[in-house]
Amino acid sequence: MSQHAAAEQFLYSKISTISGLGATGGIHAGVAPDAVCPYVTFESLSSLDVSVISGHRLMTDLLYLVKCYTVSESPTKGGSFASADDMADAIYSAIHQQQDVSVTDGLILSCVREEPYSEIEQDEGFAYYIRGGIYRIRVS
Amino acid sequence: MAGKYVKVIFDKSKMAESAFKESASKAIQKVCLELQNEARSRAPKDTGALAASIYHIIPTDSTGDKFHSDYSQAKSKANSMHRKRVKSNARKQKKTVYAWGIKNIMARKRKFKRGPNQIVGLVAVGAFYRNPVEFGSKKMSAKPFFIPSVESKSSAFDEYCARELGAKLGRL
Repeated sequence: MSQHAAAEQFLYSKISTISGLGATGGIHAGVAPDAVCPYVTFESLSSLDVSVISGHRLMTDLLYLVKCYTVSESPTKGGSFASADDMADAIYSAIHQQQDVSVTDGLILSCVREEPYSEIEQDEGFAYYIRGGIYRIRVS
Repeated sequence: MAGKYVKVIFDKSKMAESAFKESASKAIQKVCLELQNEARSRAPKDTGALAASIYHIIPTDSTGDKFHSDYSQAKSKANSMHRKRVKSNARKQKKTVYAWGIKNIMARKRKFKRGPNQIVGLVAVGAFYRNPVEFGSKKMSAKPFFIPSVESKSSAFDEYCARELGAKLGRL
């Protein structure tokens, strides 16, 4: 049983069922250099076991970064955060404050967004507009 | 003895206040240094410039008015590591390195803001490429080093503060 697998199953199952998300490039665990925008990625940033004195693990505290990528139409044209925002908001509504969700590899005790995330990346002249959030996921 | 008594009042609130400020200041100094060392040890190393660019600004007195910063030390160390790599790469490729090719990799020193009666410490990563390393990019997966360090040291301040304050209040 892997706590990371449980968290990723939770994220994937919740995000993939959002109707009208618009992530035509798919939902990826980790980096997806060849994916076509718009798409969603999630990656682990930190993991800590919460144990009692006897060493029994109560839960695992994980931090996940969820990113929604959109791209400008062409190198000469600028874009906007609008559709990345819509995707990030839909994901926020689907996973923020979720509790006691069973997945194949474990039980998700809670999922809470701790920080919003925003960034613009430049690659080969294109501007990539990224929005998302850092989510704390507690897995039993 | 009815109606006769001796009233002795010890007002230790001022002493308790200064004890609290002193212990909070000491706890912040300890936590900042520990966090800096933890982040430096967790930082991915190629040239070592990223790890060397991590610096702290901490109060050195109980009021929090005087600060110590090792930004300039981190800057010179990180830049020298980066320059060594640029020069050795150029030597391998038999190219000339121009002054503009040797960049300053450090972002400007973070401003240290402090409200009244606040004792604040700051730990920051100076290298300009810290965000793609920490959070990943379109083509590169994340190699987080700062957030896990903060997470692992999140309870350290409470522990140090309680220990210092307990020892000080016990002496009052």
